[in-house]
Formats: sequence, C-alpha cells, structure tokens
Amino acid sequence: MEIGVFIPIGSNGWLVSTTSPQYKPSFELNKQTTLNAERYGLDFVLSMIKLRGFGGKSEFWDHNLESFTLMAGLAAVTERIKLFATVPTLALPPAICSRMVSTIDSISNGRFGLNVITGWQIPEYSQMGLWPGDDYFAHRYAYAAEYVTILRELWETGRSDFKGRFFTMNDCRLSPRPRAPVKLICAGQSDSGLAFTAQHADYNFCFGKGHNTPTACRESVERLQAAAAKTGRPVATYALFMIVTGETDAEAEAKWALYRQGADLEALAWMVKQATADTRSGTDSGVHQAIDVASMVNINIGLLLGSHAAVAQMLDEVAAIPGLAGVLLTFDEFVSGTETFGQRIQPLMTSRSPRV
Amino acid sequence: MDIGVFIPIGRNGWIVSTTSPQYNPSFELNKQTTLNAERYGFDFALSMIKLRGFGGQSGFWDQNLESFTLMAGLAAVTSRIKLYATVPTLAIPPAIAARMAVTIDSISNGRFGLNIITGWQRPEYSQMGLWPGDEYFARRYDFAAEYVQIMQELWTTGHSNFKGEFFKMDDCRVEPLPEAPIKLISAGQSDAGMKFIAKYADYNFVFGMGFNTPTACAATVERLQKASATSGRKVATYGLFMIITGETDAEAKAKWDLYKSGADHEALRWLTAQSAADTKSGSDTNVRHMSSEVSNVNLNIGLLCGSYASVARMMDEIDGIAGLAGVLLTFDEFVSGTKVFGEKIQPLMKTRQHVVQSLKAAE
Repeated sequence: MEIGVFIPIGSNGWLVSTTSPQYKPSFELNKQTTLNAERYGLDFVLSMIKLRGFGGKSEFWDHNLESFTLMAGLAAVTERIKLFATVPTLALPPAICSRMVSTIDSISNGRFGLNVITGWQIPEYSQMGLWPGDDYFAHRYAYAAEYVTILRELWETGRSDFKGRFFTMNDCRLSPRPRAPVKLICAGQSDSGLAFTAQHADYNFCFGKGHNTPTACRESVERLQAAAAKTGRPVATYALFMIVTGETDAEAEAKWALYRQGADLEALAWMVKQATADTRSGTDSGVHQAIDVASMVNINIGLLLGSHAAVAQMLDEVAAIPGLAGVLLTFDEFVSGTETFGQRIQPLMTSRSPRV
Repeated sequence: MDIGVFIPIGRNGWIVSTTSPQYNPSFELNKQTTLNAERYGFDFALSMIKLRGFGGQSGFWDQNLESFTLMAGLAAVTSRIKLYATVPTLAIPPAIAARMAVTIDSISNGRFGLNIITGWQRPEYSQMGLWPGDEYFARRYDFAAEYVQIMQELWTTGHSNFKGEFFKMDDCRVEPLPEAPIKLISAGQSDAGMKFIAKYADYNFVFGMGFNTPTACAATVERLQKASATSGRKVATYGLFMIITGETDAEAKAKWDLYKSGADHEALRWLTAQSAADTKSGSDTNVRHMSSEVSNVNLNIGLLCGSYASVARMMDEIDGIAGLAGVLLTFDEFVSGTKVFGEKIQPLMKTRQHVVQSLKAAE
C-alpha cells in the first residue's frame, strides 16, 4: 500500500476546532512535514489550493499558501518523494499551469504531478471576479476536460492548437517539456467527476469513512474503480484518512474528545452554506460528504483513532480493500504526526513491512 | 553599488547567436548560478518571464521556465540573496500572484520581490487566447496600476475591495501577510511606464548602452530619477549590462567577435517584427531599444568586454553615475560567468571592496 501526506498548506489542517492544535501554514512547517515523510519512506505529498477560509474563531483555512510555489520549494529540498500541487483551473490559464509544471519537473527531476480541481466554493473565485456564474456547476468537468487536454498536448508535443468552448489556443508552445510523464489526480466523486477521472486522471481519491471503520469506504472504492474500468485506463484509487493517535487508545480518544468539544460552529456554518450553493452537481459530490453532520469537525475524513498498534492494525485493514492503491493521510499536527507515524506506527504495519 | 544577476531562465541567455554558448534552462543551471551569486556576495537574482521564443537556428528563448516556481525553488536553497520573480500581469490574476508572492516570502524568510511586466510581444499572449487587442498597448500601464494596487492592498491589509476598470475584487482575502514588504520592480522606459514606476515601483531598470561605454546610460538614469522625483517616492535605478571577459582584452574581444559572427538573423527578424507591432506606445520603449540594429545580437544590452581588470575598471566607472543604485548583470555563460566575476573581477573593484572584505572575514 502506498502512503501519501496531505500537507498542511492551510491553517489548522483538517480540524475545524478551537481546541485542536492551532497553527498557521509556513514553508518551514510544510518542509519539516515533507522531510519526515521522505525520511520514513512515504510515497508522495500533496497540497491543496484554498483561496478563501471559513472564518470563525479558529480562522479555519483563512491562512493558506499557494500550491505551485510551495511544491517548487519542497522539490528543491527533497530527493525521492513524489510531489503533487493542486491547480485551480478557474484561476490559472492552462498554458501558464503547464509551464509551472515543467519548471517543478526540472526542480524535482521528474517527481511532480498535478491535482486538478474545478472549484466548488463560490467566494474563492467571486472574490477575485473569476466566478463564471452558477451554471458553471453543471459544466465544470467539461471545462476541466478542455483544460487537461491542452495540458497534455503541451506536455506531450510542446504545442497546442486546441479550439474548444472555453479555451482557444493559437499555435501555443511549451518548452522545455517535462522529462517524466506528469500524473494527474482528480478527486471528483459526482457522476460527471468520475467520468472525467476515468477519461483523464491517473489517480483519484475518495473519503475514508466513519470512526475506526477502516473499510467503510470499500463501496466508494468499488464505484470509482468501476467507473475507471469503463475507459480501460488504469486509475489508482486512494482513500483519505485522518490519524489521531497516542500511547494508548484512551490517550488518543481523549485528544479527539477535546477537539470535538471545541468545534468551531461559525466556521462550520460557513462551510455548509458554501457547499449547499451547488444545486447542479447532485448530492454525490465530495463536498456533500464533507458537510455530513456525523463528523463535521474533521470534515468527515475517515478517522483512525487509537494507540499506535490500533492505528497500524486498521491501516492494514485499509490495505486489504480490493482496488485500493493507497492512502492519503492527515494528522492533527503534522510534524509530530509524520514523526510518530514513521517511528511508531509504520513499523507495526504488515502492509508496509517491505518498505520498512 | 548593488549587484544583481539576471539569471538564465530562458535558452541561451541574452545572446541571439548560433556561435555563443548554447544551453537550455534547467533548475540546476539557475541553482548553480544563484549559489555562485550568493557565495560571492551578489545582492539579488532576478528572473524574467518569457512565454514565447524567437525561433531561428539557435532556438532563442524557445525554452523557458516559469518565473514564480523557479524562484520558489531557489528560495528554498539559498539563505541570504534577495530574489525577484516576474509576473506576466495579463496571464495571472493579481490575487493569485499575491498569494504566490506570499508563499515565496515564507520560503525565503522575507527575501522576495516582484518585477511587474505588462507584455509587449503579442504572440506570448495571443497563443493562449489572452491578448486583449492592440488597444492594450496604449492602456497597459493603467492595467498594471490596478493590478499593483490590488496586490499592495492584499499584502498590507489581507483584504481588497478594489473596483476598477480592469479588475473587480469582492471582499478578496489573502493571508498570511508577507514577513517583509514585497518590493516592486518595473523596467518600463516609455513615458507611461515611468509614471507608473514613479507611483508604484521601488526599483527600475535602464539598459546599459554601447560597447565599453559604461557611463553612456547616465542620461537615461537621470531621466528616470527625475520622473520618480515627481512623486516624491524613492525609486532606485539599476543598469543592465553584459560581461564578456577573459584573461586579456584580446581574448574577450575574440569571444565577442565569434558571437557576433553567428548572429541568428532569423530569430532577430522575429524580434523586429514583434517590436514593430506596437504602434501605440511611442518610440521610447525597451523593445525598440533591444531590436535596434546597432547590437541586436545581445539585445543591445550595454556590453563590458575585456580583461578582468578592464571590466572591473568599467564597473567602477558605472558606480560614478549619479543616481544609479547598482547593476543587473548578464553573462555569455552564467555558471562560469558568476564564478569568474566573484573570483577575478569583484576583488579588483574599488566599489565592491566592502563586499570582498566581508566575504574574507566570513571565511
């Protein structure tokens, strides 16, 4: 099983709480996290892009770095781990994005890939005058498909003359081209997102589910793999989990109880309002899972909670899900989290014993 | 005198020739250049952005990296030198550029600044469907002024509600704020460009001029300093020069003659055609200067050609230009060029003895 880290590019990671560790993103924080991940043999790191926070007392995600420049810096100080940035397709022209990718490919010697997002939170884009109108919800994957087609043409041939509904290239050029094929991630979960993923992406993601129910996302994985099978292209599925751990189950549970108790209701209310603005994509989108009332304090990311041994055992269960290529991990605190994972959890996992 | 290096983000640097050193840009090339610059006490490194090359047999500028991501990588492997990226204002929204700048500020611990360009080579943008039409030539500094105001609001308050002709922000946010103020460069030389600089920029650039005439740009420096004085803001002017050197004057001259003999006429024709497309900006633009037939093989960048001692002496003369804060250097080849500059030329310069002494003290 491959393991990636969803590095903390935004304030407070993925816990919308006033009693969880409170921190702002910095290069140093993300560098220490990524160097730990590389030291312990993890396979990749990914940063999201988030252009507008949720506010509230915890100022959740109000402080966010930019993904390409962050990954470019990380590429320069790592040697082995794979790196993925996230491109906001509404805000960066595809030809500019393609050149940023070529540059990070040069910095990393071919260790770079791209997560493609369409955007769901209107204020992220309307604040910059870049929201195309709510009709966009219904055709966002058609837009992304044109975007990705241009990227691929530029990377593979150095040239694009693509003429589409959203983009018009006129003998557009890119050189240098990436030395290694640039892998694409798409995390779309709606039907149109899945169809896009099957046609264009190399990796996709689903939410891990529930509280210490490591295989509860089995059906989502199956659904994603079935969608990908339609095109015959191999698409590797990863599941997103959060680890909250301690020396004992009780210690881990006490942390979690503390974080939940401080849930930032004002920030969560903002998230619900934004997520429900999309009335076009259907109720099967990733955003709808994020606002499920079951565990909003960690955005409903599947929680693996317990002692080092308990978490290791649950991750081995995750590894047994048919069709799952790996996991993308978040932590309550990332530097200590990746350190503890590498020192205490991974050595106990049978699914990682070849790496160890 | 401050010294910066205009790092080789594009193929073949600034010599449009088939007989000059032929190389493609890579992170490694730019990293070695910048590490040399840092080691020898250079003050800053700047990369341009160029989205379309000139073609020709030398493939001039056909290969180019992207400036923000390049400088982000360099920020992570340096500790002292200041770094400047160039933003193509037509192609990156100001709130995105502001966040990229803040991220590199975090990587560099406050060593980052931004060069603002408006765009003059239409195919760079029309190839992506982003050229706003040729009337843009006349409005480009109005566009840039709005762009810069938005970034400044975001960097100083984390917030912008700017409503202009070209951009409309709606309670836009960018945090974290930069650790240090982000300095702005603009190299515009037209009247509109200079007004923009006087109002918004901290640094500007002029072309050094001619062949071994180090002070020939003094009048331009004076013109820029006068223009900036009208706003009462302090704007530091830098001169752009190219160094071609060798053990002797004759060796350096032989290199230059070789490069001139291989001038890539096809690539130069492209440059001339592009510069002629702008009929709105007046005759005083940078691109007119670059494409002038006098020395277009090195884009008419002021040349300092000679032995180490000759170049050092000419650099000291440049320092005597009233109002000039420093120079931005290019080389025929950058890794060896920065090393030779640091080891052979700078130690002979009177105007850099303070740097030489502090480097010695740190050894």
